[in-house]
Amino acid sequence: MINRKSLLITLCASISVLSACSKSKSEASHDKNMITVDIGADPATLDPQKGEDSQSHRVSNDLFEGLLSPNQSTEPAPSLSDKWEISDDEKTYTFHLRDNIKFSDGSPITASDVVFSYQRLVDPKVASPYNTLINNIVNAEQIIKGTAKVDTLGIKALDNNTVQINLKHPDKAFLGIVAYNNLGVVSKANVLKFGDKWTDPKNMVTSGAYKLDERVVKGYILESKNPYFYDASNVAIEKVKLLPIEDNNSALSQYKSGDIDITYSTPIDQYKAVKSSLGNELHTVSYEGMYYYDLNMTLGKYKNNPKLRQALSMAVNRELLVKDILGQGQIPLYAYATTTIEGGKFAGIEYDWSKLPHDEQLTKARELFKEAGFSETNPLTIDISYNTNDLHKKVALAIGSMWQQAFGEKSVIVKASNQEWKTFLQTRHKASYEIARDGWISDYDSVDTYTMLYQCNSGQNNSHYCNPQFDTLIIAAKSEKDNDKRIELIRQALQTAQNDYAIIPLFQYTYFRLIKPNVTGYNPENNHLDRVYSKWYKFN
Amino acid sequence: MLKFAIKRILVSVPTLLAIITLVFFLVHITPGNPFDGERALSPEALKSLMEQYRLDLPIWQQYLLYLNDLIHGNFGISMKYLGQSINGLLFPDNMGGFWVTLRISLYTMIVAVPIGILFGAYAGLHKNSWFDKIVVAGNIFFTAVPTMVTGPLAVLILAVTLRLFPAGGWGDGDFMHLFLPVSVLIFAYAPTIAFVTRGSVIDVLSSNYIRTARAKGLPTKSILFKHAIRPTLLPVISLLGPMFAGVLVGAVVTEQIFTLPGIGVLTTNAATNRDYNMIMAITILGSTLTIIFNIIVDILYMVLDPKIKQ
Repeated sequence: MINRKSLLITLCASISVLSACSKSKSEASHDKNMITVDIGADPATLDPQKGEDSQSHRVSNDLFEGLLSPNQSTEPAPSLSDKWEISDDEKTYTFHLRDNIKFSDGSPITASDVVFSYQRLVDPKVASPYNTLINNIVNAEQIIKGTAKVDTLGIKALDNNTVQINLKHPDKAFLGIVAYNNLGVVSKANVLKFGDKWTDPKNMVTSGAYKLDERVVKGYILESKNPYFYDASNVAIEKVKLLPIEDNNSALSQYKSGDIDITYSTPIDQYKAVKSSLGNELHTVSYEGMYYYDLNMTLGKYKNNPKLRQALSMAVNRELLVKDILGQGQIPLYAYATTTIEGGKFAGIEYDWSKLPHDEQLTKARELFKEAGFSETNPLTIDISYNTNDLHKKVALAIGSMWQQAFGEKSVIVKASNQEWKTFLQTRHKASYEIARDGWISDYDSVDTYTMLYQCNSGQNNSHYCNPQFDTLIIAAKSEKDNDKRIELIRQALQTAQNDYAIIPLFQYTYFRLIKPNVTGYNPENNHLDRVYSKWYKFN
Repeated sequence: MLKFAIKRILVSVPTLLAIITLVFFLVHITPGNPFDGERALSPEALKSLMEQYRLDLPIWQQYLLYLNDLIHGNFGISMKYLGQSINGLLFPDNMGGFWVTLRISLYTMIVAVPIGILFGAYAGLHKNSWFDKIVVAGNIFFTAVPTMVTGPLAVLILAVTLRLFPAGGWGDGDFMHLFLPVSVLIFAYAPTIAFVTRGSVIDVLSSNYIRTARAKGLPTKSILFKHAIRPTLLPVISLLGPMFAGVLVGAVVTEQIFTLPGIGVLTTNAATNRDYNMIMAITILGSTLTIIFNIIVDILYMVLDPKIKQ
């Protein structure tokens, strides 16, 4: 007995000692020299031109700056270039590089590095998933298709510090594209010297606020301040440790235990609990992206029945979906573009019926359903496909039951089936579905990223909707120099597509971030595109 | 014995080849390809990637080229981590990949095996004692409660509430970062080792030849260490081989909970990303380890059991 007692005392004593040790260690990790940030997953590549996933973009933001880079409200702001001119016809952009700017190895950043970086993006050998980003630059499309040489791209170095870019047609969104991280400037000499190995930490030369010190795949990415960065004096934190934590529960634990300063997200099922316990540290931000359902327009059932398409869209109670079923601050969506894109210039195009009480929406939906020819004696069968994920399952089940409640259980037979992600992508791309979950996160602050979802033959048009009238309006808008007229044309186009009901818009995404109170300088509230740079972080 | 080992190794070559062939074709006929994404690639970019990864060739040609690469010790290039070699991802120069998993597995086994054997043997020798009951109950408990539950629980209590240890991450592979994941794995494996040892001890001690030895008046020490220990260890050894191979390739959940950069996380991601080369490499690694451990178990069996030797 005595032995057991003494054993217990020893155990308690050891725990207290260990506790004291670990606390002092966790406090030490919060010195002002290093910030630890969860980025949600491991980036597929550190090559800015090849980046496609959010994580690749996130890391390349720190390592590579473009001619411009976004501010915290995601507007394009000066970066490697601090002055630029736009020609009267808005087809020629001339950028002037800052004086004496350097890469992390101390070598000068020149106009030829900028030209090289732009050429890499469209080079078929690089095979960038974002190569179409600069389709509007002269010859870009031909280069991507392999019918023109890379050096024919409409960009040239006028001298060591001046770059001129020629566009095919005016584009109000072009400065936003220039600030996109796939156009981060890489060192031509460095890439040519090391080939595929240039992104290894021991080889990489960067143009951004940080340089790459270490990378352990699935472990961490360690960056340190680039002393040659043009704005190094305003970069507050010496070292940044980026952690690819895929499990949101683990990230939350590590945040609570003080191991990380900023999370990438929070567990969806714990959102309310986190909000009540860490309210001030939880930031819920409307994300520039849409969640919607595609109706397969290659199937006669949907293609030839606009009334059915409209009835299905009207019968969804979006308010109930976002408030009671999802409950994470999502915004109900009644239009084919969000109300936040381009500073709200496309707000107000929502369906007229969206202002009616839901009961009245249902009455109209039922009438349309009947007119479409469906009833208890001729029931509609619907198969909703989604990729395996708790959120998508919740939404599919909720919408299925909304349709059944609206039109009667005997009039609608709903089946919801999940597929593994890659299989689902093929199913959706090949239009082997009836109704499919879809979503789109905007790349830059331009409505173009949404309009391409509805253009005939667009690779992203998963509903396979095609209305030449919509395409004509979009083409007209692209060549329109007057911005107000451009907006009006696009509003008309979007309303045309909306009234064809090929997709059912459901809600605008939100993202969540936990930020320790001692981290300042980073304010996600207006960062709808979630473009984050470590150069903003500060400790108070 | 050398002859036996060589024979076993030679027999395992066709087994491995069969596994490689089967998995290669299964992986390639699975719907979806590594380059499918939310953003559709332009046909030209897709074509270029397919060429770079030889996916444009007929499948039999891809297979033969893959075997040729394998013979030269090259697992190919990852289709998820663009441009990075699988060899570099699995066996990096710095700490990561297989080295992380190997370290965790070694620490787990170094602690779990002796503890399991000692606890099991003591429980077996004192059958129906309170200690024996704890060992049996402990095995039932930890078999029923998987690491998926014990892991987050340990994090919640010891890392989040008491702040004794970091909640995750690898750190520098230091004691504080390794303590929780290794402990969770020890609690997952040690009870099984103890349970098997216990059963084996009880079985051996009730066998006729031990009873005879006791009847002859041999001292207990001599009975245990001279006559009982070898046959007792046989089932434990046959358990440990596959178990070690299992920890090496199967600590997926633990690696995910504690966000460790081991091969477990690479495995799950490889499958969802259709990273063909990574899936192949991990399958080959797992199969090779299982084969090696089985050969070691067989050799140990020969050493311990004279009947097999004959």
